[in-house]
Amino acid sequence: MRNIILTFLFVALSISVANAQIKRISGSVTTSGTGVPVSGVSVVVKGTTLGTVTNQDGYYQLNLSGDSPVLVFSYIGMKTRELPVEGSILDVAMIPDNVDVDEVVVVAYGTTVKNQFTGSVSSIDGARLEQFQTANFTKALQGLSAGVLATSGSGQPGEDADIRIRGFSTFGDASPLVVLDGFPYDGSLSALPLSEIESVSILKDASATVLYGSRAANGVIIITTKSGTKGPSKLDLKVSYGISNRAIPDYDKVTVPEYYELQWEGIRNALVAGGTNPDDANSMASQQLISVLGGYNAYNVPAGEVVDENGAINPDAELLWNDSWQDQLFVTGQRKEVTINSSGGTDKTTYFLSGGMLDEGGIISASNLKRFSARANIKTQIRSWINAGINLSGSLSEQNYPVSSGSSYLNSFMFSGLIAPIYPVYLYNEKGEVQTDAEGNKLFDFGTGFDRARAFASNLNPLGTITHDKREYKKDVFTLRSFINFELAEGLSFNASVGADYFAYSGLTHQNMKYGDGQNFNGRSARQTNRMFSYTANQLLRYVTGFGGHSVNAMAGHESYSYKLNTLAATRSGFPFPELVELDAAAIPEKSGSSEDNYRLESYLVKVEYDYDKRFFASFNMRADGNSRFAENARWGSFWGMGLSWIISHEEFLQDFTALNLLRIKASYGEQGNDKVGSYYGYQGLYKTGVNNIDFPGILASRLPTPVLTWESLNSLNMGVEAEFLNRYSINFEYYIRNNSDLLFEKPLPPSTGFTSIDANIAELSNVGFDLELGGLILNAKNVVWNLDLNLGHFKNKIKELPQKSIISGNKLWQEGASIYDFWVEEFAGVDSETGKTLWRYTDADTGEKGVTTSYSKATRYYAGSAIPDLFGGINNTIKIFDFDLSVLLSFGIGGKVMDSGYQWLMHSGQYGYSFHRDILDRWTPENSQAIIPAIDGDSYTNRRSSRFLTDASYFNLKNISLGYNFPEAVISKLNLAGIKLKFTADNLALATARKGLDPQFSLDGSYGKVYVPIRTLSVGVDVQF
Amino acid sequence: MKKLFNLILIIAVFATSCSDEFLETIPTNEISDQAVFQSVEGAQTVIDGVLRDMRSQHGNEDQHDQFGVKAIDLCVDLMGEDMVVEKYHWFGADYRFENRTENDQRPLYAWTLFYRIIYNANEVINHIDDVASDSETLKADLKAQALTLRAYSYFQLVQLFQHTYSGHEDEPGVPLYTNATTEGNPRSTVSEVYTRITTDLSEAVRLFEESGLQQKHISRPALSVARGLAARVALVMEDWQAAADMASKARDGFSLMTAAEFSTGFDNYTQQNWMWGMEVNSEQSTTYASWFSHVDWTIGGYCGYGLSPKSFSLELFNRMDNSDVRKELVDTSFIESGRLIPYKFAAGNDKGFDADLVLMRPEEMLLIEAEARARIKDFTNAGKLLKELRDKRFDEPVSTSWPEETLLSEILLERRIELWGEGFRGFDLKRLKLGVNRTNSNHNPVVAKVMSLPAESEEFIYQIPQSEIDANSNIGEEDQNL
Repeated sequence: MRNIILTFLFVALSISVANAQIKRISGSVTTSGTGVPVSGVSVVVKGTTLGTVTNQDGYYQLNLSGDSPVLVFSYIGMKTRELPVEGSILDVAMIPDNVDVDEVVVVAYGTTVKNQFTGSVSSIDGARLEQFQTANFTKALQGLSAGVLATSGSGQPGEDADIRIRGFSTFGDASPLVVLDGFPYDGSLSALPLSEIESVSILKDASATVLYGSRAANGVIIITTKSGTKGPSKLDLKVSYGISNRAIPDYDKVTVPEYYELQWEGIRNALVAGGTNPDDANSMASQQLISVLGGYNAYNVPAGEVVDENGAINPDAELLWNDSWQDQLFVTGQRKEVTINSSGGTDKTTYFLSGGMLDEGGIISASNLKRFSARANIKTQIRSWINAGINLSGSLSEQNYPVSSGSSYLNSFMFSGLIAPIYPVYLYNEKGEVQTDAEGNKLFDFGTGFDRARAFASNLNPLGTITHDKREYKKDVFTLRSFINFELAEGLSFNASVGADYFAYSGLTHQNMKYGDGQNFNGRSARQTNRMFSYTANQLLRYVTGFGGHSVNAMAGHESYSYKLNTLAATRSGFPFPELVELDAAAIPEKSGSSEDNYRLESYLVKVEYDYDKRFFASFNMRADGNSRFAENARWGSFWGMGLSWIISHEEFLQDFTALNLLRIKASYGEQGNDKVGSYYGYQGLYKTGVNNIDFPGILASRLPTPVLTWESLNSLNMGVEAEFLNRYSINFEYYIRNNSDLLFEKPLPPSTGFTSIDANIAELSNVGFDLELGGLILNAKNVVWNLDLNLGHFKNKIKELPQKSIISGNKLWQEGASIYDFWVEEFAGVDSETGKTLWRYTDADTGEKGVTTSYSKATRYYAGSAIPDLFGGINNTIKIFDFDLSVLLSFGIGGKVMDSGYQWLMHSGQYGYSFHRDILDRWTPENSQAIIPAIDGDSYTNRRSSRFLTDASYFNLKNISLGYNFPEAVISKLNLAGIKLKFTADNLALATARKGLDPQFSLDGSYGKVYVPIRTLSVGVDVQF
Repeated sequence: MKKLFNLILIIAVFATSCSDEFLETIPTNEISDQAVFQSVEGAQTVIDGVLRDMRSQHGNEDQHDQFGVKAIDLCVDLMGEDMVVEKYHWFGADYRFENRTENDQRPLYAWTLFYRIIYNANEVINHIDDVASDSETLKADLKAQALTLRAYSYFQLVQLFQHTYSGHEDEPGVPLYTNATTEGNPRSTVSEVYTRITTDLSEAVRLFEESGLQQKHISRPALSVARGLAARVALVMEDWQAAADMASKARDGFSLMTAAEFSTGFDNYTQQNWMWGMEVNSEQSTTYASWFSHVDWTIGGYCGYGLSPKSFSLELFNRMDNSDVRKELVDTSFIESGRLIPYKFAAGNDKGFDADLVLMRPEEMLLIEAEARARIKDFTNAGKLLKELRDKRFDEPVSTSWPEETLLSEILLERRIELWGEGFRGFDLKRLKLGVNRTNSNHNPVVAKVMSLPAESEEFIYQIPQSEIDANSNIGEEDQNL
C-alpha cells in the first residue's frame, strides 16, 4: 500500500516537475567508524514527503528533481544528517546519537552550539525529564547533570527539591535563579508540566550566567518550553496511570513485648540509680510500668503482672490489640496524568498547543496534587522583516498537604515513626474490645479514653485528625512570554520582549472542632491569599556580521524588572458546625494581616561573541544592575564575564587523526553578584509593626540600619577540555574555582546589645572542584544500541573569611579553613563497661589532655566529618533493543555524613511512650558489658547529639527506569496513526544506604528528621501520535 | 534611510524609561527608625511593642516553652520545691537544672528576651526628650515607663545570672547598656547593676509622680509598679526600711483580694486587683505556648492534657492550715499517686488561652513589707500585716500574734503559699541562701533527677550564653559562671 502511494507520488512529482531535470541517486549507509551497514534508515528529500528506506545491506536509491536537493538521513539512535546531493552516488556514515557534534543549547539571551560555547552549560533533554513520574522537574534533576546537587525533596506531590550548582556559594539562600523561556520565573515550579518542557539548561560558570547580573551567582536553570516546527500538524496524546508507596521504609523497631521489657528495665535502672535497693526497684518497676506508660496495658493480665520482677514478659499474657500505625496511616497513592498536545507550522507561523491534567495522590491519605495546565506558543512572521511570538501558559493546581514535617505530633511521619508499639490506633476497652460509634465505625484512640493518658502525644491521633482537618493550597500560575523582532538591516535587528508571571496563592488550614489541637477552640481556620505579579521588559539590539573567517555576534540593551507581592491572611476560631471551614462561620477573630512588597531592578546589557574560522571563539558579557534592595549609594553595580575556546581538532595538524572527532579546550572568568539578602529593604533601620498590645498598636525594633550593604560577589574561573573519539566515546572535564566574597552574613552581635546579628558583607567562601562527563556507545549491534553516560561531581567547600574566629551554626562550626557543613559535635567514646553509661570525649581546657567523661555537659565538641559528599553524580543508560527503549538512571553520592535524627530519637534511654530502634536490643547490661549501646536508665542525655548518630551518607538510588515499546510501522500504519508507544516507568525503585529508614538525600546540610519520605511510583502509560 | 527611520521609531516606542523612584521601595509591615520618634504616640508604640513582646511566643511555632517573661517565671518556680513536674516534657530540663549551661536554650532565651526589652526601652529613653510635643507630662510618663521596664529587665537578668546581691556585690553581674551599640560591654559588677536598677526606678518614680497620669492599661507600668519593683529590689538588697516603705506606698489604693476573688483562677485582671499584669485576648494568645497551657489543669494544654502536669508540693500542702482557702484549691483526689492538682491558675471557667497574666499584686507588697518589718524587729506591724492577709485567706479567724522567733518563718511560709506559681520561689531560695530539698514530698526522683541542692549552688545560676561570649570581645571564657 505504501509503495503504491509512493509510486503515485513519484508520478505526480514527475509530472509537476516535468521541466526539471530528473536524476537518480543511490548509495549505502553505514555506521561511522565501524562501517557496519545500517538497514531501515529513512532517506527523505528535504522539504518533501519523497523518500525511501535502506535495505538489508544499507543500500538505497531515489529519483530526484529540482535544484540542489538535500537528503535527510535519519535513524533511531543515530544523529540525523542532512547532505546536499552532488553527483549520483552519496554514501553516508551515520553518527551515533551520543556524540552530539552540533548540539544547540539554550543559554542566557539566546542559543549556542554547545561545542562553541566558552562557558559551562549542561543541557537536559525534555524527553529525558518526561520519563519521570513527578509533578515537579526539580525532583528529577539529581544524577542527570554533573556538579548539580539536588535533594530528594518532600514526598508530598508537587513539592520542590533543593538544587545547588557547583557547591555552596553563600551562607544564605544558595539556590539557583530559575529562568523560564528567557525571563526569570517567579511562579511555582510545580506549575510546569514535564511534558511542556523542551529542555533544561544549567548554566554553571560566571561567564555563562553573568547576563543575569546580581541574581545569578548561584547558577541559573533555564527552562525552555516546547514550540512548533514547520511541517504537518502533529497531535500527541499521552495517558499514564501509576501507583506510589514509600520509597524509604521505616526504621526497624521493637515489638510490643520487647517494648514493655525495655521500659521495665529503664524504670528499674533509674530507681536503682536514684538509690532504691535493687529488689525494691524490681517490684516497683513491675508495678509502675503500665501507669508511667499512661495506663496502656496491651495484655490480658493485670497491670502489675505484665512484666515480672525479673523483667520478663508474663508468659501467659496475650495481646489485646496490635494495631500498626504504619499500615493504617499510609496508603497507596494513585497517579493519573493525561496530556494532549499539538504542534506544527507553515512557512510563516508555527504553533505549539498543550493541555494536561494531573491527579497525583500521596502516600498519606488526604495528601495529593491536582493540576490543570495549558500552553499556547505561537510564532509568526508578520512582514519579511518583522516576526513576533507569544507563549502563554496557565496552570491551576490544588494541593492537599497534611502536616508532614517538623516536630508537631500531627506530622504522620513523626507520629508513626516514634510512637511506642503498645499504643493502638483504635479505641479499645480494658478487655480489648474495639469501640465503635452508632454507625459501627471504629473509634480512634486519642490517648485519653478509659482513664488512660497516653505518654506519647496525648489527645492526638493523626489518622483521626487528618480526615477532619484541611490543609489545602491552591496555586494558580499564568505566564506570558512575548517578543517582537525587527530586522532593521543586514545583520541588525531590534528585539522588544516582555515576560510576566502571575502567581495567585490561596491557602486554607483548618483544625477541626472535634479532635486534636482545634478542639479547644471549637475549630480554627486560617486563610491566606497571595498575589504575585512580576514582569520583565527588555529592548535589545543585535548585530551579526562576518568578514573573512571572522564573525561577530553582538547584543546590547536595556531591561527592567518589577516584582510585587501582596498578601492577606486571617484566622478565626469558634465554629458552630463541623462541616463549615470558611471564616464567615467562625465567631472569634484571631489574627489577620496584609502586606505588600516591591522589588525592582533596572539593567543594561552587553554581549559580544566572536569566532574565527569556527576554531577560535571568544565571548564577553556584561550587565549593570540597579537594585532596589540596596541603599541609593550602594545600588548600582556591574558584572562581567569573558571566555575563550579553541577547537584543536579543527586544526590542520590533527586532520590525520581520524579517530579524534573533537578536541576542544576552553577557559572563562567572570564576576557577578547575588542579591538575595533575605530582605527587600536590606539597608533600612526598621521597626516591625503588628506587635500590638491588646487595642494599642505596638512596634519593636527589628533591624539595624546597614547603609553600605550590597550584593555578594562571585569570581569564577572555569577551565575545560572536551574530546570525542572513535565516534563512540566522549569525555568532558571541567575544573572550576569559585570564590564568593562580600558574603552577606548575619554577623553575630553580642545578644546583650539587643540584637543577635547585623547584616554585613563580610564572609568569604570558595568552592573548588570538577565536573566530569563520560559518554560511550557501549554496544552498537544491529538491533541493540546501548549508550552509557556517567556524570560525576566533586568539590571542596571552604570558608575563607568570617567576621569572628568561629561561629556555631547548629551542629556545625564555621571556622576559616572548614566547610560550611562540617559537623561539630560531642564525640561518642563508647560505653562504660562497668556502669553502662555513655562516655563522651573531652579535652581539658587548661592542660589540653584528652579523656572520657560520663557527663554530657563536660563533653567537648570536635569536628566529625562533613555533610558534603566526596563524589556525587549519576549513571544513565539508554538502551534500544528492537522496538524497545530502555533507560535506567542510577544516582549516587559517595562519602559525607548525615546526622540520623530519626534513629537518634529511637535510641533514647527509656523515654515513656517513645518507640525504640531494634539496635537497643544489644544495649549494655551487666551480662552484656562490652556493648557499644548504653544501658537504658532514664538518662535523657544518652541520646543527645553526638558523633554516635553521624552516619555514612553514601547512597545509590535506582532513581528511574523507563521502558518503552514502539509499535512497529506496520501496525501503526494500519491504525492510520503516526506512532504508538507503551511505557512502563519506575521512580525511586531501590535505594541502598547505611541504615534502613535513612534518606541521606533528604538535605544538603546532613540533617534528617521526620519528614515526608520520597515516594516510589510505578506507572504505565501510552503515547499515541496522530 | 528608511531602515534608520524604522530603527529610531521602534526604539522610541519600546524603550521604557524608568523614573528615579523606580528603585525606591519601602516595606508595608515595618517602619523606618527615623519615623518612629517623631511623636509621643510613636514612642508609646514602642512601649506597647515591648509589653506585647513580654508575652509573645518566640522561636519557631513548634517551640512551646518560650512565651515571654512568664516562661522565665515558670523556670524560676521550677528551680524550687513547691511545684512538682510529673512528666519530663517542656520545662523538664529546667526542673532538673539541666537547662542552665552556656549552650542550653534557656539562658540564651532569657538573655535575648530581657536585652531586647532593654534595647527598645533605651531607644525610648534616649529619643523621648527630642520628640516634638507640647506635653512634657506625656514625655515624662513615657520615659518613666521605659525606665521601669529597663529596671525590671536588669533585675530579672541579674537574679538569673548571678547569686543574690548580699555577699556577692563585687562579683560579675550582667553587662549594662544605656545606649544603642553593636559593641558588647563587659559584665558589670552586681552592685553596679543594682545601682543602675535603683537609679532607674527612683527616676521612674520621680517622673511618674511629676506627670501624675493614670495608666491607661493594666500592662503599662505605672507609679505603683515602679514603687513595687523598688520594694522587690530593696528586699533582695536587704535594705529593709526601704523595702517596707516602698512596698507600703506601692500598694496604696489597692485592696487585698478576698478568698472568693483568690479562687477565680488568676486569669482575669478585672477580678483580682492586680497592680501590674498582662491582658491577653483570643487574637493575641499564644495557646499551647503559654503559662496556662503549662500549669492549668482546666484547659487543654500541656498540663491539662496530661503531657506535663504540674502538681502542688505535698510537703507545702501538709504545712498549710486546713481552713486555708488556698488549700481547698488543691484537689487531693489522686494524692495516693502523688498528684495534687492545684486550681490556683484555672482559666477553664470563664476564659481559655486568652487568660490574663499576673506580674505584681498588693499581697506581694504586703508580704515584702511584713518580712522587712520582721527583719527590723518591728514584730507588731509585721504580725499585723500577716494577719491582714491571713484573714482574707482563712475560713476561720486567725490568731492575732505569733512568737517573735517564728514570725519571720511564718511570713516566709506565707510567701510560698500566697505567691505559689508566680515566679518567686527560685529567686527567694537564692535571696534567702537556702538550698533545694525535694525529698519527703511528691517529687519523683526519676523525673526530678535533682532531689536536693545546697544553698548557693552554682546550679541556681545560668551561664552566660555561648553566643554572647563568642561575639562580645569584652566577655571571655574566663568571665563565665561556673
